[in-house]
Amino acid sequence: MSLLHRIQAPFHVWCYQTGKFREVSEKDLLGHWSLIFFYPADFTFVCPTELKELAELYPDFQKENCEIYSVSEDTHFVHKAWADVSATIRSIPYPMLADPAGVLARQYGVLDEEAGQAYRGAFLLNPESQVILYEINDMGIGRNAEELLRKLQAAKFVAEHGDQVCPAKWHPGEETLTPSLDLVGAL
Amino acid sequence: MADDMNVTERSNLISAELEGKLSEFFKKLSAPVVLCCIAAEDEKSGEMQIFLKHLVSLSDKLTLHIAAPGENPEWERLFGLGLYPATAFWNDSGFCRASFHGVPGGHELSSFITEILTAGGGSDPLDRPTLHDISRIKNPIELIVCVSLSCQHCAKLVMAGQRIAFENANVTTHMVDANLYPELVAKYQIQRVPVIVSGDRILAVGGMTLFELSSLLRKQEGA
Repeated sequence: MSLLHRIQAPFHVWCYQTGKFREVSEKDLLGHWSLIFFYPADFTFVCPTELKELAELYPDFQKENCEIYSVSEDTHFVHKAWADVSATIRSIPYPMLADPAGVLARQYGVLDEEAGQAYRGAFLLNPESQVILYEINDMGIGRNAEELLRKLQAAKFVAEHGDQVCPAKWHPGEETLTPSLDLVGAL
Repeated sequence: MADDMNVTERSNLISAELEGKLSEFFKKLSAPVVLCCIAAEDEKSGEMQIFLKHLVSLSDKLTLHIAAPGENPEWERLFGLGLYPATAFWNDSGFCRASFHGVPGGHELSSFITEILTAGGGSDPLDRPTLHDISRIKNPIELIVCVSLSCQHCAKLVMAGQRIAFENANVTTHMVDANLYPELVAKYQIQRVPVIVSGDRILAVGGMTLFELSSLLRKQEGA
């Protein structure tokens, strides 16, 4: 069953963010766009690459009024331990949510119950905490942070302008399209 | 007919079927329409010239004039924009305040033909409330409507702008096939269309009805 348009269910977790712990609930997701970014586990190799790319694009996400929440099934203490030993993780500016009980991962259908780890799911929520788009990749398949930013911008654009626009893919030198008279006089 | 040259080549944009439909549309023309095109040396300008020559050959109410960039300062001032090929329309009352920049393929053939019909008295008249609404735009405004030829919202917006410009001498509108002008796309970071640029800034994004566009233009001047 699709998760599109589903409203964020209640949750309450701890997070680690730039050296501090704090609590996060569903109420914190209201009023701005949110990217919920699941990854399998701390202290792994593919994950830091993805998290680093997101960290580098964090100012662009913030410019679009979007908060990033990374989520793994580790505790917030493990997040801190990882940051203590890794300069890459230490530089991550967004909140790293701790979901050791699997509450969030189950809500989003990304929990590998046997491994106790989350698949690589990315979920974009609008300011009303409604899922607007998502992708779920198997463990070894990384995501593209730039593509997630593009999707966020597209989602925001559609939210602001409805369906009265057409996406434009510019291809210089393209042949002129076959003309159509279907709309003559269609004012 | 093209008075500057003979039709020597058929445009591959006008099929035999389309030619028949266009001829039918042009029977609605009650007054002559003059098409004026500024054509450069590039491929699209060549394509446009062939297209226009073919088009005007379908009606004795249509006349075509072609000039090179810079050759006709008056045309450059009224509709050149430095974006070629540029084509504009004149009728018995003068310049119709609408131009096309690019080749009107895809849905934009509809807006191109609609403009010819309007200029030549072949379009249905607007109702009085709409005309009154349009007449309330009091300050001069120039619109550049950036489009993609495959966008149906774009053609409707172009037609709305053209009709407003036709009815109100304060409004001038230019349709621009953004795909041909990458500098324009880069300048305004256009990723979706239609986009209306006015006064060197983006005025609006997305399709609008004639009424919505007219209202927007009035709001711009606080009318």
